[in-house]
Amino acid sequence: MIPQDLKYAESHEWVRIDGNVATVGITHYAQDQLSDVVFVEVPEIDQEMNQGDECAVIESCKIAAEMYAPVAGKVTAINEALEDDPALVNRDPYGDGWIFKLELSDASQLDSLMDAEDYTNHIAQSA
Amino acid sequence: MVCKTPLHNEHITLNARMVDYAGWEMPVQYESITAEYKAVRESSGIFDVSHMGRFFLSGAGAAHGLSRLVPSHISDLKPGAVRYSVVCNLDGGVKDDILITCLEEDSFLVVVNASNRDKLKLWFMEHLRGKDVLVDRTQETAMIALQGPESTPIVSELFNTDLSDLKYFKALELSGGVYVSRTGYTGENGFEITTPFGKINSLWNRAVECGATPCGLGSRDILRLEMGYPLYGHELDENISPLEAGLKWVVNLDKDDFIGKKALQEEFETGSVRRRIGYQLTSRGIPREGCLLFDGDKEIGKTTSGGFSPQLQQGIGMALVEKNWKQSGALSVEIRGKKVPAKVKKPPFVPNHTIG
Repeated sequence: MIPQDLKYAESHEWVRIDGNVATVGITHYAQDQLSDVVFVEVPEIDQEMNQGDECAVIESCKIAAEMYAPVAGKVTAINEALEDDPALVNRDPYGDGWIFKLELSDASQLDSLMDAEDYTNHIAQSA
Repeated sequence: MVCKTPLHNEHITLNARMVDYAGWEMPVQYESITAEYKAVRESSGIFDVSHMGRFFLSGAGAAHGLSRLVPSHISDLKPGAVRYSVVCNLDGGVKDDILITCLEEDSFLVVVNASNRDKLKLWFMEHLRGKDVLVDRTQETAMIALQGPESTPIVSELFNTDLSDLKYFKALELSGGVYVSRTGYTGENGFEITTPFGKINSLWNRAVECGATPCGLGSRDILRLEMGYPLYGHELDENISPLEAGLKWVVNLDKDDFIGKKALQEEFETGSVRRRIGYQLTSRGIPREGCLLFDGDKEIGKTTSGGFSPQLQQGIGMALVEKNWKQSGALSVEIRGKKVPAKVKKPPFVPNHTIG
């Protein structure tokens, strides 16, 4: 259920590393807690963010949830498909429901994130 | 202590997400809020609304006593008639909005909001003549709402009685202390059913077997928002008068004295300070309670409820604005520091399909 090849933040974002670029999304657990996502406010291209900054807002029927930058960097791409189909975040949180990509400014921050096993324990404690 | 409705086990079995709502453990959603919303708009959904307070008022003088507590006419209510009204404080602010069913002469069922039940019980006791007149049967009874275009055959099946002729805002007493009214909070054809505590489970389960989708508070809020129905604590509170809230139609100033009449009369003559409007965003975004409204650069009001309309696929909201505001510039709603363009739209935001 929880992809082994990703890194995870305590606030339920995931990161997929490809060279110096990180793709960021929210986890299955996070989308399930939010339920039906109806709007995603994505960051802007070239926006710079520090680790832990509010970087996007995921809105479900119920609430608006902030998403925090799991690592620092500069935004290089946003998932434009979310504009027409925000529920991609629910249907495919680790795939087509990605939120944005950023160019890492400090790759050592990846060490502060959890691996799949630690994240599994983390959500077991949150539940 | 958190109260549980008699349908608690059903909710747990259905994997509902439970939340504490006004001291009650209630389902906010089962499978998906959007799917539940769709069920009510297109077929039928069933809600546990047992958390709402149920007061039974009876005894000689009950009608007169109740009439003093609400700005609506009561004396013309015949057995089987249902009326929406409010209870005002001395300043004309709203203590609660309520649904009154006349069961027989001088006998009423008054359904109140869960959050206001204790406050309202004290208020009623204080202002009714004899204390024996009001019995709070919230915990001895239960209540479900069956809503949606396909709810009539289901409710008829449940009671083995053709209820298609029951008119909007009319109620019927069935055997065994069961009351069915053609009312609801969704803008669809539907029924609300009150029963003794032990009878609700089989009704719920049979309705689900007949095809009604279990629906939680999440979809209920979206359904009522699309209709522009007020929700206590948002569009209504002790500092908002029914005239400001767009409920002038429940205020009968020609009626004999009632609590709040003087203040409402004065407000009616001198003019309200605020009024309630509806708006729809014309760009992407979802407004939430508290979002400010601007006409050009001028702040003109504040959102009382907001959300996303699945039918319009746009953000919608209700707001209290200055009474004399006339739009002169571009209307916008401030969401997280950004002004999102909007247009005034008179609720209901989507067509109302109640049979009234």
